[in-house]
Amino acid sequence: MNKFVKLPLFLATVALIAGAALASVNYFTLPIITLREQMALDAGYLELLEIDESKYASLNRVPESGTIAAAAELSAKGIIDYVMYENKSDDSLFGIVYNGSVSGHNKNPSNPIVFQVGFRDGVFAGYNNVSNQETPTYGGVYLNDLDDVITGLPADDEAAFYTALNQYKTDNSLSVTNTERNLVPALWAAASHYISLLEDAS
Amino acid sequence: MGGGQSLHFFAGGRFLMKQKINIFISSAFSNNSTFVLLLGLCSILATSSTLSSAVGMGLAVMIVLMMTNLIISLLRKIIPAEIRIPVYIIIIASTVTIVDMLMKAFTPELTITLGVYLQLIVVNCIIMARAEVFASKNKPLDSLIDGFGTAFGYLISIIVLSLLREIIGTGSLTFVNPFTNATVFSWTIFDARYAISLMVSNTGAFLILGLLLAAINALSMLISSHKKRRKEALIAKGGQG
Repeated sequence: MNKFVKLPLFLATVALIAGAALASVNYFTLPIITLREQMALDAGYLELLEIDESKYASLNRVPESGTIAAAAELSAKGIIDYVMYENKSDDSLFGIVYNGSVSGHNKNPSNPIVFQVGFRDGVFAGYNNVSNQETPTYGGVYLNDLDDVITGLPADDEAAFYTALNQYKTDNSLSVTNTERNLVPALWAAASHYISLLEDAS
Repeated sequence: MGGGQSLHFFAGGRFLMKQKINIFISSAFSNNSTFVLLLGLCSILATSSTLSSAVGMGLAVMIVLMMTNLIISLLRKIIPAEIRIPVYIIIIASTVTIVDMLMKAFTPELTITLGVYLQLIVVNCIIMARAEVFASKNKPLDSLIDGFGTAFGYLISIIVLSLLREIIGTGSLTFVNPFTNATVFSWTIFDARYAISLMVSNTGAFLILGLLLAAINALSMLISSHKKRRKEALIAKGGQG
């Protein structure tokens, strides 16, 4: 057979076999990965809002199961949906956790920064890393300690939010522009939405 | 089987066993990918800040290296020489992606810890080097042993580096089970106030690796000069006799 036919044919066959192997492994692992991510998200809601067994009974999750899809302006920033917890006694807002997904340093759409950000009592309740594949010693460092930086910051003070993040970068000599590029605006979009919900309620 | 035949069979078995052990020792120690050949240093430096991530990375490289060596060796007679490199790349990339998917499913915390370096195993030159130098020219069992030996050498190197970095940099040593994320052990070696946190950073990785390489080179020079002196002494003794 002609070499110009045989070689591409061989390469295509190898690629086809490799593709089939990848597809079959993906078939078995995808449900497990999805389940684990869902479990991590569910644990994140309770952890971010510090809901323990004693508090759980006095709260309502709105809606009772699932999440509320984010509006277009929020989803454009990377916020996918959110979960609200209300006090059973007076239906007042207890706290809210937003689920987001943005591209970071690794621009591959299959490896985004999947995160949760929570709000309670008018302040940031915390940040939770669900999954990401940022460089561990670079962007990963920024994500690991982000929770400590934003927890307790007022959700209606944009200047304080950006000042705290800039100070954090300066203190740790971080220039993680690709990791923070889409993440920080998403966090602030979530904060703005939370404040608008609080204002609507009052 | 007669007595002479069984003796011959036994001697042949011992020879084969010795040959396999030699392949392992050569790939793991004499030609250690990190300390002798200085290959794949990027991932070693980046993921050796803690013992847990170092073990995870070492095991991931071990699985990939053994699988790719075995597959390439099995296919070595049918892979056309002109397109061997693209074929190796497809095999290596697929294997790494499979390991990545399995780790995302069963060790999600470790996947976050290793980050992008897990996928970058594809471009780790150790994998391609062993495929081109060994697996493409040797039998499957030998290639499997070579893959295991090379990865074992890599694992030992990354563990040594991570032990030094974590202990000097934090004053303690912690190991987390990658499957359950539970702490297996956490020992405080000395007060954290006396720890040199620079060692956990990228700069510290370069410093520790440099010092380790210097120490290994000094030791190997010492051994070779000692051997040379012994040989010279033996020759001199023989000449006198």
